[in-house]
Amino acid sequence: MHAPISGAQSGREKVTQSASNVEQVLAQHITRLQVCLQHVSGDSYGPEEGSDAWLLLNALIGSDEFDNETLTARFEQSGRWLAEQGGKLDTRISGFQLYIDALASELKKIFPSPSELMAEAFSHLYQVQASSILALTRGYQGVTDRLAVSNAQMTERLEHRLLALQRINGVSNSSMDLDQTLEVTTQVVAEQLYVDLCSIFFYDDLQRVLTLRATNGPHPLGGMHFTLRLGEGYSGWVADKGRPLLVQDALTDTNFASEAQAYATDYHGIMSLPIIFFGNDERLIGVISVQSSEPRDFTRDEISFVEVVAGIVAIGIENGHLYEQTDEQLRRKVHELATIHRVSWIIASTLNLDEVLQMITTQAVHLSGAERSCIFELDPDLRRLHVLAHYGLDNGLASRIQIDVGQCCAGRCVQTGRPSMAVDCFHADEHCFLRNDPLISADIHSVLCVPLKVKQKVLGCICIYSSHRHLLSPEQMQLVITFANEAAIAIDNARLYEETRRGLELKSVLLRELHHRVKNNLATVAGILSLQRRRTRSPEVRRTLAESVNRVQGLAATHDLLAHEDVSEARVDDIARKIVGVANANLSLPEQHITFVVEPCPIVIPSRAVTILALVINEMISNAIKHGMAHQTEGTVTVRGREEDGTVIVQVIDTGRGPLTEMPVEESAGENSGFEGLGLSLIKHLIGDLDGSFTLRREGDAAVSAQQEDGGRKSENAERTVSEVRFPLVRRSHT
Amino acid sequence: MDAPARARILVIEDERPIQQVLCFFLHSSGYDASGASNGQEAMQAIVEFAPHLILLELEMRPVSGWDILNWLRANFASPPPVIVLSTLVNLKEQMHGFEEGAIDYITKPTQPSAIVERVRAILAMSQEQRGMLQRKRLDEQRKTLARLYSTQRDEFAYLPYQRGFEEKG
Repeated sequence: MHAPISGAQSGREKVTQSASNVEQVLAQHITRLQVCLQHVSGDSYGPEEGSDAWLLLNALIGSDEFDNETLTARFEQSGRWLAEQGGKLDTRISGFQLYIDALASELKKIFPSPSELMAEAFSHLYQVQASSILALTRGYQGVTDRLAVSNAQMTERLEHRLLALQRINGVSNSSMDLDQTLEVTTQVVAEQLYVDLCSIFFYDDLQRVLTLRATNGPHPLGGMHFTLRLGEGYSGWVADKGRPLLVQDALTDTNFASEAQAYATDYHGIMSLPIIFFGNDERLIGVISVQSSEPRDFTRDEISFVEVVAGIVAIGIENGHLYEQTDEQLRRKVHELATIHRVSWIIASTLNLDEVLQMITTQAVHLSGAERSCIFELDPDLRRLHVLAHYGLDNGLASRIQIDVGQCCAGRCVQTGRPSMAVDCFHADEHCFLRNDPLISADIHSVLCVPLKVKQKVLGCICIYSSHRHLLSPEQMQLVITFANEAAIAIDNARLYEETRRGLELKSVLLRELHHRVKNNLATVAGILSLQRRRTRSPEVRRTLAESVNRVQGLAATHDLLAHEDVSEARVDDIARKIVGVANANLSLPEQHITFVVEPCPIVIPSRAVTILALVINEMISNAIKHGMAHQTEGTVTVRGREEDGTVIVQVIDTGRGPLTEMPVEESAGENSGFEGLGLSLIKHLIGDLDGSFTLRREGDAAVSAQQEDGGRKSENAERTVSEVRFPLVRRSHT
Repeated sequence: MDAPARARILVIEDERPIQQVLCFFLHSSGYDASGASNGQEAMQAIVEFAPHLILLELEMRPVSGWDILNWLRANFASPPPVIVLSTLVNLKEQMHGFEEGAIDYITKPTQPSAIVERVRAILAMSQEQRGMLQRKRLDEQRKTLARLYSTQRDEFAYLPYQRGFEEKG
């Protein structure tokens, strides 16, 4: 096993020996070699120490301090530098080759004839060339390999960052609620930057404080509500300055340390950035900070990453804010509309003014965000206001309030007829009723008065009292004006209703009294006629007087029918029944047995026609009893009504013997003619008012002739007299 | 036994001519009739004259016939029968009259002779008969009222006129 090694050693020694021989020869020609290299580089000196040409030359002549290892190490280093400075390896090698070529042609000149020495010289040159280029390439390759690894690592890290940003963006755009979104965001940031804490504070513009909204886990003060003033702690510092803060160790600054030490463990390395929304104007939304338990310097990449996260958070919060605002406004509008609708509905459906006004005062307060409200009514004679309804005032105080027109905000509003708004006016106004109640005047600051107007007439005003020192928005004001209009309508409605009700009551009492007097007068007339009848001996006069009493009673019956309070539309059969009731009692003789039949007839007659139809039916029935049923002991009178093509037909049918001809008016003679004529002409005149017509005829079985005068008694039941009126039915329009 | 004393009838009516006419007819029919023109007079007359029967107008002022009916029931264990005279024809008013103690209800104007007939008929009745008559009248009125209202409601519900109104409403 040892023989080959010793063989190899002896071979190397031999080479080394011959090389040193060549080196010695070449060292004698160093100047020539230097000059030939200077030609290649174009310089007049050198080669410069450390250059490729210089290294090559030294290796070739075998300088003392220049062994093989040194040469390799120098070229490796040179290759590394080349790679680190971004040089190209092939250009370098091409340049190197030019030196080799120049040296080779110079060697040919030194050794003009082929010899062992010449061969060795060339061999030595190419050996140096090979090992140099190898070392150069190795050095170069080493560096590029290392760079590739670090590039791969960088790519991987950037990929992670990108994923992290995607995740944060995803939760910001999701339906997750804000606190959850922020929590996920802080967790992702802490994970990415390998920090122990990531915190997000929100800035409240009104109170000018920062409030901790989310962390990746650790909480200061044991999870209590945590706020910082502007400038307080590092988050406060960033919010105040509006620019990023990087601190290697927060504990070196007492202000920064105060925040860093609020947590269970102390934090040293700090990166804190403001969250700013760049919209129409820059608005500070909050502060995002990362903290590490070790002192740390954050890199540019890490700062950029947190900057992007801050941007996403800002947009997310602004969107949420806008959404909430829009949503809130919409809900408020819907609520307002629903309330106005309810108020309108109640006004339309109730006549209870107190209830309506109470509701208006309550809803006006709730919807306008005020505390108290009051509706004043104007007494136009006294020119003074008193409280009709209120919300949030003392009942005793409200009942005592009397405000003259022109006095106080309410009185001035009624005087001008225009809405007015004022802040803290009652401190200056010594007439203001609110001054009497220190409890109220202490927490009320602004007042809105809107007049209640109907048709340009001011009925009073509604006042809304608020604890806010600022005036109401135009929307809130419009809302109160709407309520004022509703209240004005309600008050006007209630007044009109009360007037109508009183009028109706009065009318009803008057009607009753009138009715009573008319009937009493008729009773007096009937009584006097009865007295007259008793005193006269003439049967003729007695009969006439009896008929007169009957007519008076008939008039009274008609009067009852017409003077009835609810006289309006009536059914035909109802009218007939009433007439029949009176006629039956007053007109038929005691020895007669007349059956009255009123057939059902649901036709409804308008009120104007009721009067006329009642009088007409009265006359027709009277006629049937007095003339149709005359000289008969029994019979039937039927009242029948029907409608045909918009014409009402009412018939009074009696089973009496009937008149000789269809229209007996002209033919009748003697004592009855005048009376009979009056009855029939009354019917004709009355029915003419309804654009109707009247007929009187005999009807019977075909076998029985209407002309039969003798022996007609057997067919008496089959024959009848029909008096009939026809008139068009004009119904009242309901449109 | 002396001849039965003439029955005493008190006519309470604020309309003088009517009161006089009625008194005249009652006198000539053999009754001892007396008139009262208002509530105060009537109460005094009821006590002093002690009528066997009263004709009473409901619509009077200031003391109405209704007040007299109440006063009678409150002050007499068995008050004399009362025939109510009224210009009111409303069935409800009539029923109310019976409920308040009237034995009959006559609407004005009526022939005085018809009123005298009623007076005669009621005086001829025993206490029990009068009670029965009153109950019968009350019952009749109730039935008429019930019938009227039920038929009206049913029949009206199917009127084409009503339907049209409902559609428009």
